[in-house]
Amino acid sequence: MRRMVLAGAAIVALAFAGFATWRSLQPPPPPPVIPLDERTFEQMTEKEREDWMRKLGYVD
Amino acid sequence: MASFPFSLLVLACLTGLLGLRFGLEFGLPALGVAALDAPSEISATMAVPPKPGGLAPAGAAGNGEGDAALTPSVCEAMSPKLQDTCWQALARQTAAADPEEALRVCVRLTTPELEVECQSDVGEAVAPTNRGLAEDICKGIPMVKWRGQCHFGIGLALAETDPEYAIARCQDAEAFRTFCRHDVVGEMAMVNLPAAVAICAREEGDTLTRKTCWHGAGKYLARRDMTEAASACAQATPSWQAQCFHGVGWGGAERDVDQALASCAAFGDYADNCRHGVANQLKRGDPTRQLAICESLQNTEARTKCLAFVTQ
Repeated sequence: MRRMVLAGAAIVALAFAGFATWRSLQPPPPPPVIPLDERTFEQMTEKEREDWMRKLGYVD
Repeated sequence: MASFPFSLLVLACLTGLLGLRFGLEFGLPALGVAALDAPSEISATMAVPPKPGGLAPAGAAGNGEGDAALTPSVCEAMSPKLQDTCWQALARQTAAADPEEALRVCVRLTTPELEVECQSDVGEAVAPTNRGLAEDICKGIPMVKWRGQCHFGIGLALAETDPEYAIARCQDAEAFRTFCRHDVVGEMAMVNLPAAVAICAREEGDTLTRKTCWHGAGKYLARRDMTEAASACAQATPSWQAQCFHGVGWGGAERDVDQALASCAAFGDYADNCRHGVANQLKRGDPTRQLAICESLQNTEARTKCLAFVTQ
């Protein structure tokens, strides 16, 4: 009985170790994008502003 | 053999745990720090604050100048689907006379975003009579978007009466800062062209900010009269005159595309900048004609930009 418990614990430990290794090798998930109109002025690039403004008729 | 079922149990538990973990990973949206440099979906429209004076003051019902006067009981009697619209209209209608009550009305809206949009409307409506309170209302709005819209609204509300104060409000309009300068200058130009020219001539801000200033004057004036707008563009900083004439083309095309193109022909060196404005304005309504106008342009820079925008 004791051996079975130890074996089970070893399997769980191995599984978690494997998972932790696998997880650390994964690229981070892509972060969500903040819509342009919910940003501060400083959080926008000039290119983003220019494209947005052109689309709405605020610049050539 | 007695241990076999136990091993199966351990394996089943492990499988279940791992299944749950991966299921959650794929089933739930990823959490993380918001990205600012990722590609963004650019909205085709922008919630430009309504022009002040669009709603009738309380008690103006039946005079044919605006909406009927609303009261809380009128809103409460409406179907749930219409109540939010009613509370927003009531808040705007109440704002100038009783801002505190208007803000209490905003609390009755059903979502946090509608509530802050309502506060932004109240801030704008209060501005002509109490600037300090209007600014305080805007500053208290927690969402960047509606805080910016609120300051934008104050700028528009005072564009005709206090140009310097109005343009200063744009500084706090966040994502809408350049849009605000464009529209405030445009509104100002309609009643006080020298003030608008003086503000644009200061050449404040980055290139885009300076360009859009002249564009706004040209566009707004062209909505009234393209010849008048062209005269105003002649006062623009030489390097931004093309920008102003682009605005003239856009503004003229909002009224009548054929007439706008005919007017553009009289603008000499800037005729193609004007036509470029007409073409850009057609992007959503008539892309085929937009392309034809772009292809007809002789000015290389205008033609290149115009064609690039067709496929953007």
